Amino acid sequence: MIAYSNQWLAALQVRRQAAQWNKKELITDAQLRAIFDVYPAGFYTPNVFVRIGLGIFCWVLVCSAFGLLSIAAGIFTNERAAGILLLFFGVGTLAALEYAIREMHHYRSGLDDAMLYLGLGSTISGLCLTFSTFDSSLLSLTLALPLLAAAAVRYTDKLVAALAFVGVFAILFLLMLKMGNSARLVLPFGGMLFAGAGYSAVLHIRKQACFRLWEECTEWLEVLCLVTFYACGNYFVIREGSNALFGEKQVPLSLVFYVFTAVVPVVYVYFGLRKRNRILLRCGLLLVAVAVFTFRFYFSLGHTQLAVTLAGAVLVAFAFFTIRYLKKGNLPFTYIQEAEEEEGLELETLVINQTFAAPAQAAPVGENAFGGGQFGGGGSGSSY
Amino acid sequence: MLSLAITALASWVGLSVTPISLLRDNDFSGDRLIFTGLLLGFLLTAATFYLNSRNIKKHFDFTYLNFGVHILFVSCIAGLTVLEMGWLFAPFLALITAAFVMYARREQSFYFLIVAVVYAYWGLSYLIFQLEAFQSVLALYYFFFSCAGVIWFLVRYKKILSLPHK
Repeated sequence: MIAYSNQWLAALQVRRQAAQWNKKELITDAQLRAIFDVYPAGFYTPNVFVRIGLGIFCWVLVCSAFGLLSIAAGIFTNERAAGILLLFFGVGTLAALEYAIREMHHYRSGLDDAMLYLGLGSTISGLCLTFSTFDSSLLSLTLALPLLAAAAVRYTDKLVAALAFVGVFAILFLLMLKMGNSARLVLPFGGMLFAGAGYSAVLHIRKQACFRLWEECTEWLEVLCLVTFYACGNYFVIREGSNALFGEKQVPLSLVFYVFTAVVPVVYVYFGLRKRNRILLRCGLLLVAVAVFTFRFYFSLGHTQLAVTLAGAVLVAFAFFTIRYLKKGNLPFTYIQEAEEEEGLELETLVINQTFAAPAQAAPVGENAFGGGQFGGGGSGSSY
Repeated sequence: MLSLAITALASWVGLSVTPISLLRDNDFSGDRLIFTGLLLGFLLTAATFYLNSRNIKKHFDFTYLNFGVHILFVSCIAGLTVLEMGWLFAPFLALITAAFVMYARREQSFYFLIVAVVYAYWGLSYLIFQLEAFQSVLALYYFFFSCAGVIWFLVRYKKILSLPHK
């Protein structure tokens, strides 16, 4: 079912866990080596930078191959011909992907990522051009969805899995939109129902041992379900959505949605702590911020400086007391940091990110180089 | 903090050096800025190797060199594409590419390997497209085979680079 070797994928998970335990000094180096010997994984998985490089060059390669093919075929005369060409090319790319995985044992090497996305992209756009000529987004989505789902299962790719989820939601959304004006009330609750059902299904799947190889995909799906559920009831989304889709400024049951906007993130955080579910907790914390933004958007306190200062003070106090409370250790969570794998790699990435994120500052060239106390703030952001 | 200092140093000589704005905000069409960039990049790189050999603050190597490598390569490619006698920069580009690939090999740094390879490919492609013949379908063939070559190199760089490494 999976293109990659199941045995090696499972071995990778074991090795990752063992390496983490080794970092936490739960097992010795000798034990770690013994585990690595018992669980060999022969994938070709290069360093992240090599992966990026391979991805870029593979991308250019595939695109120029398509250029050559289309020149050779010379049939860009109508949409259908182009669609068939794209379809043909996409299938070819996917075949090359299969070959790279089976014979060269590529796994997350940049090559397989690039070929998967390009192959899927051109197959799907080829299908759509051939059969629906992009007229109906519903038909296009219906054509794309089985491919996306199959690819997510076969290549255990989280991005494709997320796209498949978005596809299902979009189909549902378009179907509900066909109901006309009554869709205004059906849409939010239908969306919530879908996301809620999806969430419980994903939770169920994540507990099963046989779905363990899709761990990354199901993790993303879990996050997506949580966020979708909240977005369906968020006041901002409802109001602006109904304005854009139906041209109505008034929101029915607005009180319900106000309460939903405020309460759901807190509920997420609460259950995240209770059930020791890190995904739920993090989503909840993020959505608390979204809720605050939503309310700030419609109710202004007037003094921005005051609001920001107050909010900062409250957050600092909250963090301080939470850390103190967690350090006591009578909760399922602790303040002790977990040993991350590949720490060195992450540090290096962090340094690069930081230099990338540093804001540009123009040299303050005045007539008088020493005049004025303009010391450009040093571009100091929170990253320093 | 060191990144901040280097950014300030660069803005003093008139460059905006954070990797993204390096390409976006600088007008590299003047020869003055190009030579400034070359000098600054060279200084930063030289400083790294000097400090490294003297064993001073080795943990800052990456920061200096990260700025140095981008400034150096971008200035060099700008010189290659903008200036009149641009092709004179080609040997220089080859030289710094070789230097950084050697460095990448010694330090086992994949990041510098990729950076050097991408910039070198960029420069080389530009030079090749100066030829009349390549401004046609040949361009596609060029991209096809050169990318295949680079991929082949990247997949096998361990074998290729460690061959003389005894």
